[in-house]
Amino acid sequence: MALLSASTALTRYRVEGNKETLSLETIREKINNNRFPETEDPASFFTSGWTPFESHYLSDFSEKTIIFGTHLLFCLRIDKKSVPSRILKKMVTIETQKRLQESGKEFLSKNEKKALKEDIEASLLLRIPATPNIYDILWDMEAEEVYFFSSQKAANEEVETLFLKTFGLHLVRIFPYTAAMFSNELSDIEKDRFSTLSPVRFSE
Amino acid sequence: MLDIAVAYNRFSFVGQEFLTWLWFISETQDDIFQKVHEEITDLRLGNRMVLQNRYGDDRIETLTIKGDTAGLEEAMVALQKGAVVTEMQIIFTSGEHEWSLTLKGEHLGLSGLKTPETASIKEIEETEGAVIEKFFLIHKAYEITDKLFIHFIKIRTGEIWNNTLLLMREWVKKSNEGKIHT
Repeated sequence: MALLSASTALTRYRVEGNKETLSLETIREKINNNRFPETEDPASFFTSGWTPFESHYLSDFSEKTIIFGTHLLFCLRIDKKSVPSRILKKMVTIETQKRLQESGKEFLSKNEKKALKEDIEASLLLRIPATPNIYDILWDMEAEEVYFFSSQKAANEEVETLFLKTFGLHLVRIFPYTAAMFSNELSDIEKDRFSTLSPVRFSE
Repeated sequence: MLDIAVAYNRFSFVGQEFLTWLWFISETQDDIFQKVHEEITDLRLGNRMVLQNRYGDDRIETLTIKGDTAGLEEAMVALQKGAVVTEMQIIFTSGEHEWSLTLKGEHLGLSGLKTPETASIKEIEETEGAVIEKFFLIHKAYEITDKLFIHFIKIRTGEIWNNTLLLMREWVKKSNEGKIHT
């Protein structure tokens, strides 16, 4: 669901915080410092970072541009590992049977079952490659808005966190309340009235 | 400003009322669209709508209407029962260009956004031009939905609202009566 796709989903944010000290060079440096790590940590089941728009899997920004017209464009990459539940169930069943035979016990305690499941999951996670997900992020510097090309809750939470960590700026989501409060087409009286609104029924 | 998380939940109904108003306007006063944004030559509902009815005991009833031949009769009945529109596909045109998108009332997020077609990229050097053109078209979709939302908020917070609400209730009532007679 990327910017150039035929069909896309978006979340819009307003950028809040002190932007005065951020030159293009500083922004570029900060993005590069928080880029997606080039070497994969096999024990990590969740990794995130920025990648260039033109090379999602090579996160070095030194040769790549982030400037597109008057906007900045780069990507959030999130790599996640997850063990398919049926594989985990199969492995736990086999291992449980093996342990029962070895110990001569009739069943495993609740804690033993939990520990066994966690051990198997951890060992499988080391062997399973992470699945990458790429989300475009376009920063309209003039309008002080960010367009994030996803509406998935987890991706939205990660972009908000990483943006704050990278630039020290908050991404404030545009939803009915903030759309009204940030609007320069509404008067203070209209904004005050908005704050006192209650739902109505459209039937009698 | 209120705390963002509190405000998100507290005012999500405004987005849902906005979608219901858009539906009402598209059926009764569609000349308003051009007054709100001069570039809109037509705005109509698409083939997807989701409505939700919350009952006092925390039960939620969701009605999804989709498909090219789907009518909105059931949606109107749900509205009569007190449901609200939570998401809705809208299609608008500006000259020969058409945008289609699904708008969610809760957060005003866009999904399934289809803009007018842009030229395909044949050379890597064409990427920047393609990005600028595509973003211009995406931004246009936001510009139009923003204008419509702010127009609704002006009505919703103004003295005209009581009359608009009466007209909307009348519209719901008449639409449901019409179905009973046919």
